[in-house]
Formats: sequence, C-alpha cells, structure tokens
Amino acid sequence: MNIQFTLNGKLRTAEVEANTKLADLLRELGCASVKIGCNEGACGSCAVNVDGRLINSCLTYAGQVNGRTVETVEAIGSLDHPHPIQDALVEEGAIQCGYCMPGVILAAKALFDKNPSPTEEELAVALDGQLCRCTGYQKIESALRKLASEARS
Amino acid sequence: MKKFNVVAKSVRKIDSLSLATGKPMFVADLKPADSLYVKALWSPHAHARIVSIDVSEAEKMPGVHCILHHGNVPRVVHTTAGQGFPEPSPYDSFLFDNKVRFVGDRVAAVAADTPEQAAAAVKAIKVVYEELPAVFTIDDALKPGAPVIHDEPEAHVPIPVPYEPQRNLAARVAMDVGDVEAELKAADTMLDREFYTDYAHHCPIEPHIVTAHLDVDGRVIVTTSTQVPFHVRRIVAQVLQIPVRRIRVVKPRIGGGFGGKQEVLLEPVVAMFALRTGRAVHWKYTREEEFVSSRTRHPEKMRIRAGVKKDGSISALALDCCTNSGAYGAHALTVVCNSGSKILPLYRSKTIHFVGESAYTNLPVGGAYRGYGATQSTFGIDCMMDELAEMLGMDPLEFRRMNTIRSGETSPVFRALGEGKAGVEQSIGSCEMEKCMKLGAREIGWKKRGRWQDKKGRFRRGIGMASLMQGSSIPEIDMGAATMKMNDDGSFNLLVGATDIGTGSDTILAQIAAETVGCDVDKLIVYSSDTDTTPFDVGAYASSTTYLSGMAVKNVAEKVAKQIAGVGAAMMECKPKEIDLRDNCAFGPDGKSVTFSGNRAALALWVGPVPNWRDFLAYHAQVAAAFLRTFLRSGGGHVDRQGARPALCRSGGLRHGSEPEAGRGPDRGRRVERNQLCVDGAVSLQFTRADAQSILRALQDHVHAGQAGAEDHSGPQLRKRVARTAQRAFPKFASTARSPASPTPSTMPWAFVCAALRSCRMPFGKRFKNARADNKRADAADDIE
Ligand code: FES
Ligand code: FES
Repeated sequence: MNIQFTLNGKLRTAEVEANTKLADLLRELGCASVKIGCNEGACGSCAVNVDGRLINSCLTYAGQVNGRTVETVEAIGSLDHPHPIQDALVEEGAIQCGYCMPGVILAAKALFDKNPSPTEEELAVALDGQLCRCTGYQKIESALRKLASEARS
Repeated sequence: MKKFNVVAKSVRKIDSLSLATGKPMFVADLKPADSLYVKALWSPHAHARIVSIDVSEAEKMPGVHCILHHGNVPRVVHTTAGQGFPEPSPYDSFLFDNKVRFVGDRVAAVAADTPEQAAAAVKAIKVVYEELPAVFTIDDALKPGAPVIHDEPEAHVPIPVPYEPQRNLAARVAMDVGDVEAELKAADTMLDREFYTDYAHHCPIEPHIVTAHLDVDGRVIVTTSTQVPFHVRRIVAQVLQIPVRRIRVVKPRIGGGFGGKQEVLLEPVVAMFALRTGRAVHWKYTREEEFVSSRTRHPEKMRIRAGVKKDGSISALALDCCTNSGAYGAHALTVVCNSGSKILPLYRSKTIHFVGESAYTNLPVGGAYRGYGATQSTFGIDCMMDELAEMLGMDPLEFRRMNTIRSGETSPVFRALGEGKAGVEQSIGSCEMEKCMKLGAREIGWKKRGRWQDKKGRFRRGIGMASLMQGSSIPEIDMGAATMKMNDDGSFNLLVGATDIGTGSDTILAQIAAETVGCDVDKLIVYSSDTDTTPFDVGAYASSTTYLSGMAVKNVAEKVAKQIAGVGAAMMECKPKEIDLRDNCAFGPDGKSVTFSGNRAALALWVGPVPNWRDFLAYHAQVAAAFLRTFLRSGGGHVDRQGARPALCRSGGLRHGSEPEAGRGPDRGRRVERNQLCVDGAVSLQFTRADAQSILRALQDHVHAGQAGAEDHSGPQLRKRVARTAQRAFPKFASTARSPASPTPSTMPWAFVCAALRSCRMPFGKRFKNARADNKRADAADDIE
C-alpha cells in the first residue's frame, strides 16, 4: 500500500507492505537514530514521536502513520545546534553507549514540549518505558531534572 | 599531588553528542544496502547427534544464496572465548558440529536476500536427530556414568590445565595454604554453608550483530559489535583457515557488552558466508536468540567453611565451588579461578583452601560477565562474613575491618592462582579499605543500625554492607598499545587498539594524551579498534582499559612530547629539558613560548635544522603490570529513598535472566522465556509483568521489615504475606531462609532483601511511585532508626 506522512518536517511517500513495521521503514528512509533493541516493545530504544505522542515504532505498522507526523532525533538537534535535552544529557555525562539515547531524548521531548518544567514524578512516568543498561538512570534523571528546574526559574 | 589540567577533570564524552543526535555509528547503521540476511536453525534438543541433514529443498527456496552446516564447512576445533592466546579455555567448539549439546545450539545457517526468506528456508531444512540422554545439573553431570557431552576426540586444552571431558569436567583449579581441616577443628566457631547463584544475562540493549563484506582485494571486512576485535580476527582466521592478513575487523560504536561480547560467536559464520557468496552479509540476533544462544553468567554452587577465633580473627577459610558451564567451556577455567583469586585474598586467614571446578551440562553456555566469577563467590563469602560476625556477637563492620587485607600486605593466593597458570606475586600498594569503610559507615549512619532484634513496629529499615575486591588486567599476559602523531594544526591523531564499548575509554585515553603533551582534549582525534590501522590491544575486559591502554597512551604521548620539546627548544634556542608543555604551547625558560599551531611560527609547521623531528610520531606498546583494586560498596545494602537505586544500575535491563527448566517434560533443557528478573549473581525472580506491581509492594513491605525478614517479630499477617511472596518470587532463597538447618536469623533475609532490591528493575514510574509511597509510610512509622 502507498502511504504518505510527514517525517521530520518533510512530506514523504512510501510503498509498504501491510506488515511493514514503522521502525524498519524509518531506518530504510535513513533515520539511523531509530534503534532496534528488542523488536517486541520492551526497551523503548525504537521510540519515535507520532503527532507529539511517544510510541514504540517496532510495534507500530507503517500503515498506521499514514497522514500523520513522525519525528525522530535527526530532526530535533544537530551537532552545531543540539536541542537543550541533548545538551543537558551530554553535559551531565548521561550518555554511555548511547544506544538507548534517541528513545530517551524523544521521551523527554514529548514531555517537555507539553510541560517545560515537569516534576520529578512526571519525569519518571514519561521515562517509564525507556530501558538503559549502562547508566543506572541516575545521570539521565539528574540531567533532565536540571533542565526542568532551569525552566522553572 | 600533581596538579592536572585535563585528567581528573570532567570533560564531555567525545562521542556523546554524535550519539545524542542519532548519527549512524552502530553496526546496524553501517551495513551495505544490498546485504544478505542470516537466520540460524537452532537445536530443539538438549543433547542429540545429527544423523542427517537435508538442505536440498531449502536451497531451492526464493532468495536463498547459501546454507552452512557441519557437512560443508571445515571442522576446526576452537574456543569462542575472546581471550589472550593460547586461551585458557578448552577447545571444544566447531563452526557447525554433527552433534548438538543444548536447546539453542547452532545446527545450520541460511543467508538470503531478506530475513523473511532466510527464516522460511531455515524451516525447510530437514534434520534427523538421534536424541541422547542429557544432564542439567552440576551434580548429575559429574556423577560417574553420566552422559558424556564432549565425546569428540578433538576436545582438548591448548595449555596444560586439568581437563577431563570424559567425565564432563570442563575445568579445575585448586590451592591450599596450611592445614585448613586442622584449623577448622581447632577454631572457636566454625560455620559450614552452601550457596547457589543463578543464571543471568548481560542484556546489552544492542544485541549481537555482525556485518561482513569483501573489499576490492578479496579481503573480508568484518564490522562487528565486539569487545575484542583482535581476538575476533585471530579466531575467524583460525576457524575459516585463512591467513590473518585476509581479515580486517572494525569496531564501530557498541551498544554495551558487559562481557557478552567477549565472545567470537557470529563473526566466523558471517565471514564464511561473505567468502562463499562474495556478498555483504548481515546477522543480528533477536532478543530471544540473545538470551538463548549467546552467553550467560555461570551459575555457581559453593560450599564455604570458615573457622574463627574468639578474638575475631579468621583462622580457616575454605571455598569449594563449581560452576555450570553449560554445553561449552568458554571462560570455564578463568571464571571459576576468579571465584577464588578475586575474593579469597580480601580476608586474612592463616589457612586457605580453594577448589574451583566447572561442569559441562546440556544448558546454555556460560561466559564472561561483569565481575567474572568474583561476583558469584562474593555473594557467598560476604553472607558468611555477616554470619560469622553475628555468631561472635561482633559488629559486621568491625569484623570485616579487622580481617581485611591492608596496604603493604600480600596474600599467598596471588602467587597460587593465575589464569590458567601460577599467579604472580603481588602486594597491596595502596588500599583505603579502612577509610572507605569509615566514610561509608558515616554517610549511611551505620551507628543507627542497632540490633535487628530490638526493632519494633510494622515498618522497619535496615542497613547492610558488603565489601569486595576486583583485579584488573592479567599480569604478564594482557597488553595494550597506542600510536600518536601530530598534525599541522597542532591536533593529534591517537590510534588505540583499546575498545570503547560505551565505557568512555576513547575520552579517557584522549584526556591522558592531552595531559601529557599539554594540549586541550578537543585537539585529540581518537580512532579505536580497527585491526588494519590501530595497534594491538586485548580489548575491553577485566576493567583494564584505563590502566593498561591508558599507560600505553601515556608512554606514547611522552615520546611525542619529547619530540615537541626538542623542536620547541631548537626554535627558542634553549635545552629541551627546559621546555614546559602546556596550554597548546611550548614555554621556554625565559617566558618565551611558541604555540603548537595557529600562526606561521607555530611549532607543528616549523621547518628547522633538526633532523627527523618533524614526524611527531610515536608508537608504544604496554604489557600490563598488576593492578589491584579494592573497594567497598557501602551503599549497596542501604534501603532508603535512594538506597535501592545505586544497586539497580548493574542489574537493570530487559528480562534480565532466564532459567533453564531442567528435567521436566518434553521441554527439559529449554530456556524458559518468562518475565524474569535476575540479580547479578544472586537470586532470580520469576513473575509475570502483571504480578510485578503487587510483588514489589509486598517486597517493599518486606524491605521495611528490615533485617527481621522472614523471622519478623511483627504481625503474623505480614510475616505470612512476605513468606508467601518470598517463596513465590525467590523459591530457592525462601527455602534457605526457612530451613532449620540454616539458623541464620538476620543475615540471610537481609542478603535476600538486598538481592531483591537489586533485582527489582521495575519500570521507572512505578518504581518511583511505590518507593515514594512506601517511604512516606516508613517515615510515618516511628521506629525508623
Ligand atoms: S525495539 Fe521497540 S521497544 Fe525495543
Ligand atoms: S547508554 Fe547504553 S543503554 Fe543507555
């Protein structure tokens, strides 16, 4: 089937099978930031924002995003102009192997876009589905906490 | 202490922004577009001989390019363990064999245009098996008359170490100092305990993944998620029987390894496909394959006996342990050896006895996993220390402090236990264990600990401690190397064999180099782990990169610094030793300076009468000295708002462990995939995700019951509930805790609770909320202290 959707601000069309996963399609379209850690919805490393909501793209069929807006990490910051979330994580030393990071960043962004100064609890809930094997989460949390408190002050 | 400008300072991890912006840096991102995909046929039997294998139909299926199985590949016995050569692990593996030894063993592999086509072809392969009797437990495997798992004539050890495959013994190591039996008899108090630690899986978020293609000269380029690129090159050459020079191994960014990628498993298969088809070939494990057919932490069974004198000194310490190696002996000897060598020296004892064995069984295979054997025995020995202190009526902190090794001391264990050979005499150069304990005790409020028997009320809080030791680098075996050169703009290329797998070693090595030549860290361009261009390094294991490869980098940078000083001296007409390198400049004795770059008079571009100095190039190889770290995890057992958190970092992950179900029904030997969490070397929890919340709640109640644990003095209701949950969640542990033969009033439940907490990798939000709510409840109760 033929689908049309907005990927990182550009209108894209793609010919997909009914069972093509969104994660595979996005990777095919050059979004290397979409990582596949488990392919079964457990780890969150494939998370992308669809119409501002975080979803696991390994559990989403490509057909489901027809007519919608998809955002991956490629769109939200660059080496020269990183997004404040990216900057905060780098500064805090929260990135070890980095495989989980695109998912973590998008999860945080989905939250911060709606609520620039989330409470600790809201942060925790937003990051619920993002597994990170390296960091132990502490630095991810403290980076985002700092960002939230900066927004408050 | 020396004042540092770059090291000992916080710098941005050099690859972190690229990672955060999602650049293509991992194996999956780098595979050529027209790659073939690999799928494997895994053994459905725990132990069977392959009578026949028919791939004729599968070969004809659409998209299929090549099928590999034991009938069409060279039969080369080797080990998959990525260790220094000659490896201390038995040679007992083949690319494909005519026998399968566990459910999930490799039978055949297909390369096809798409993963779906490969999977369909795998289904069409017809195999006739002759099932053989299988063994699943250590005890059964070592019984006389047990089925022999490695009956092939080729199985052998490349170095002279005990190995008896005909009785399923994959490894054995032993040592004795003094007469332990006599001292145990003479001791004022004697304790004899058994412990068992379970399977655990590394769970890197990036599974095993490899891509290979041929370059224009027909060389195989293997891009792989590995901790050991140079061992990969050697083992691929060995298994495929091609010269090392025909192979190039490239390590891009790695999504975590934790020991699981210190194994050369997929690479030879993928390289073989590339050679046979001439195409790029790609293989990524699914998460399920990752659990079943990669490697695990060895389960270990141990019996520990200890004798102490009334004054609190340990007079005898005996550790008899055996690991379950699974179907192959990867890392069998070294892991069990570390179970003794990395923990026994921590405590001073007049007499020491150690026997470590490893048994083949028809279960998934053990391998390297953070801690590497030390984790397992630390669990047992540390529980013993608490119990011994309890029996003597001593404070466990004081008991440990009294018996722990100190600076300047040595242990006979160092000399006795090496890795596959005698060890190396070592003494403790510096050890701040005592200070560490003091600080830890102060920070955690050890004094408030009190006696568990005196605590009252529904909610209680406990404090515990554990001390442990690790070694780093293998003396006289491990090595690292570095090459460094200066560029015209005053930047430096640093080429290291060291393997950054997310650990940050590229950044650390850049800091060391920058510090040594006196420049900023961003002047360093680090390239690591490419067997064609970087010098040899053993790889990322044994927590050794900073020490070992770091020393190589320091030495190479010193050589470059010397050359820079020479040129600087020629430019400023002074002596090289008067030159001071810092801030990207060479300073002369009279305050004059030249910059490394930036203007025409800069040092990097200076053309002067100094012969051979314009290369600014050096190479250095480093052979490891012995490094020993001792440290204390004082926070590990503190149950408080934060208490459970530090310990979580090691055990986090997807379903972290999965346990083979032994000897029941037709599925025996199959690894059961459940939502099961497993502590690093301690206890495993089995529950469904739906149950998770309620169990966590009950566990937290249990936690707040503090050290009282299963022998809680409070309401019978709570006791029952906790016991029930404990039994369901921790079948083994709960029975230990209740067993009348093990009268362990406080420490066992305590260790259990610590272990439980460590294993509770609950989803973020829930964990938070529960912890918060329970802390509030605990605060409300007046008996926290
Ligand atoms: S890959 Fe999609 S959740 Fe793990
Ligand atoms: S940084 Fe490695 S998994 Fe998160």
